[in-house]
Amino acid sequence: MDITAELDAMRADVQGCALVAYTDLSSSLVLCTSAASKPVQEEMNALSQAAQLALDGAYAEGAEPTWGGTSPAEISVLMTGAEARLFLRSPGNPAEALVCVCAADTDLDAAVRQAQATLQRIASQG
Amino acid sequence: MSEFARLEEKLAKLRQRERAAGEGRKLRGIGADALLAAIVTEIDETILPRRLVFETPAGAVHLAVANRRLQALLPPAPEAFPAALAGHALPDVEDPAVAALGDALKSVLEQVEGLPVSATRLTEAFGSDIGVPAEQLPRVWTVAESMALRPDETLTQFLSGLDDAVAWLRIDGEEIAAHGGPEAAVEALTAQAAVFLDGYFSKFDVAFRQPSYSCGTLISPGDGGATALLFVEIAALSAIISAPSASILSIATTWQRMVAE
Repeated sequence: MDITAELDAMRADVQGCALVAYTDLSSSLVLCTSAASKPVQEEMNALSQAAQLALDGAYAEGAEPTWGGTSPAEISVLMTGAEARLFLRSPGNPAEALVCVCAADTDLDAAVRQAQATLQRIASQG
Repeated sequence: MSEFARLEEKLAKLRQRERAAGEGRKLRGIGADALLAAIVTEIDETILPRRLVFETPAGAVHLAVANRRLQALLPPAPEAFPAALAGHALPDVEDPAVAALGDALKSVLEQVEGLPVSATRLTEAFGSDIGVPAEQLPRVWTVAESMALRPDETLTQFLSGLDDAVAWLRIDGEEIAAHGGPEAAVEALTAQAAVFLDGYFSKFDVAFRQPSYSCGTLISPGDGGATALLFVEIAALSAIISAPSASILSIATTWQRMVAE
């Protein structure tokens, strides 16, 4: 299964999931997307910038001392009353991440497990 | 200086920087229902007599509020508001002017994202029997039950259920209002909060481009045994929580289910 198919499968499996994307944190570029309707470029740019902020930028740096600063942030979630945006660093390439835009009341535990499984499959494809 | 005092001083500086950037105070929310609920909350949090000024696209709406009661729409009012409403003292919730004011507010808040608000001392005097309690407004303004959020109750209820947290701080405005957890963990979290919130406020517009009544930020190392961080905001209240990574996602899910629109 290619990356797009993996993202499609995850979007179908996570309840209330509107969009799944695979992004390069270093360049803040979205590499691949699965969405019910084609997202506008501004939305993708905003998501990739938020991913960088939450996993490598000021938000991550500010939180890292909480766990001793011995490892980078692996999971971040930015939440509002309207949605939850999940960001998970790839185990295969720390400069890449999975982004998932879900309903506000999504079971975050379940969504993160799905995202981790998706990332493992993508990483195993090399 | 205690860690609490240091954090409160830091928060005051961060808020001051926000204001200096010209953003002012803005009620979060998109559309009439969310913003009307935010106005109800604003009334509910106003004890001293105040003129609350809401800057809508149709013009500024001035409300006289005291003791958590809406007393009147004050002139000048936008054209969308019936002229008879301006200056009309509201004796109780059954006065038809209350519903008419809600309808007029809704009409000017459609499609609006965020609502700037300011408060000044109220110079108009109303009798002590004048005013509609904020808690009665959602019914007559037909604000959906889920939208009529009570930030204080929501945050109190959320924090009271934090059995899995390592430590937490409740921050009301710029003041540490309550805390939980062992003393050493609270002290560590207080020091950590000052560092985290510096970056949080400076990059807020990158993280949250759409105004929202509530926000949450979770950052985790992913390792189940390590401690992760969660920061939640609702209206002017917030809390920062440290908890094991293994439980921080379920804590965040609980928060989201309390505030989901």
